Amino acid sequence: MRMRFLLPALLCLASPAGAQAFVRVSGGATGSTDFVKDFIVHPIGARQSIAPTGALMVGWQLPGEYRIAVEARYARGTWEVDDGGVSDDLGTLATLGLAVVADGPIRGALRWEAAAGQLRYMPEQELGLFADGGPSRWMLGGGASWSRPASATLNLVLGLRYEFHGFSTAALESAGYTRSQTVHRVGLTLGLERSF
Amino acid sequence: MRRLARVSCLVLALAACTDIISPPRVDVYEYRLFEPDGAELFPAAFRWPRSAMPVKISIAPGDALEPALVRAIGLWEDLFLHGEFRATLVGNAADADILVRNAVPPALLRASRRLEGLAPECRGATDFDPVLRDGELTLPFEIYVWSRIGPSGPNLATCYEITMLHELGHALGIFQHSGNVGDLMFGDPVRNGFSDRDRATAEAVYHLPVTVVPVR
Repeated sequence: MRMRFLLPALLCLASPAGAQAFVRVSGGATGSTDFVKDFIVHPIGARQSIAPTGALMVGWQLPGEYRIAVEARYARGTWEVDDGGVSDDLGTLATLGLAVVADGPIRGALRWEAAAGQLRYMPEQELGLFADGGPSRWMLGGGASWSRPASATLNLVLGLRYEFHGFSTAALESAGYTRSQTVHRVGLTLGLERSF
Repeated sequence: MRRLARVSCLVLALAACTDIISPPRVDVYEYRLFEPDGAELFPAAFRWPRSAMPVKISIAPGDALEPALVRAIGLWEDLFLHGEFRATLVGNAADADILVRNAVPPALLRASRRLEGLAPECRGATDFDPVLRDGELTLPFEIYVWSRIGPSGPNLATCYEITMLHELGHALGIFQHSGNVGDLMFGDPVRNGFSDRDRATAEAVYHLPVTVVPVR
């Protein structure tokens, strides 16, 4: 609740001196592929459902038109299991990504971005494959953003992000599972950005 | 530089296309209950459907069996990786899918079935009422675990743990005893946990077709 007031205040109070730094606050949704594909008599898949997403990015202008930023991206969905065609909801499953993001110009208001960091899974229920807690996994990603002025000091930014990571948990490993499941995630966000 | 970029792209592409690898499956023991049905045997295969989760279990508050029951629920929940079984304790016995009693079981009704565990310090039994030909099992299951050495004694707590884990296995749908002393579901269990065969059998119970569904 406190963040709801803190973030707009941060955007509005930031001084527009020198345009050396920027803050972006975004909201949207993230979709994910299965984080486990198993086969016990029939196929079983588990994934995070389409997740409402909030992101906060703080960055700095680099020489040229490049920028670098740190980003926290929180997505709150549910732990969905498809067990041979029967769907089950195992409670809330949130993810928190902390990443370093670089972006640069493509053309006009369109910019590319690349991201690398860690993604932490936070299940509501520590059971089954999350019996030993949610894992933190390295992730890589990239995407594009498009912006247009929303006011004299704010830009409206539409962002599309793809990222992937390898998923496994301590419970899966202790049950004899090897390697990791590649998870692909796509996030679409709309946000406000202010330079100062 | 261009070669480095290509190699990096190739490594990234390979890294982005891997699947987790399941462990090799081990053999299972027979878990179905076979009942005469005319000249043939009807195989009773039961599991709690996902729509019944969490399974509601009742025990008298403060009962000496409660710690062993809580532990058994946690272990069975964690045996499954995909939430196939979840349970919760409820206060009202009338709402329960499984009743747990610290008592010697009463005389068995003719229609009921009883599966027993025979540890030295304590014993256990699980009663249920299947109407097999109709494909129905009338709830609740009733689990009885009782001491054979009085209210306290050496190894009684461990016996409660093993027997509760074993009896809850019956209430999950493992309706037979294993013939292997190394399995939890051996008739006279000594293992205080799951063997690989117990795990594989429980997974089979929760993924192979059922012939009996729970009703009230």
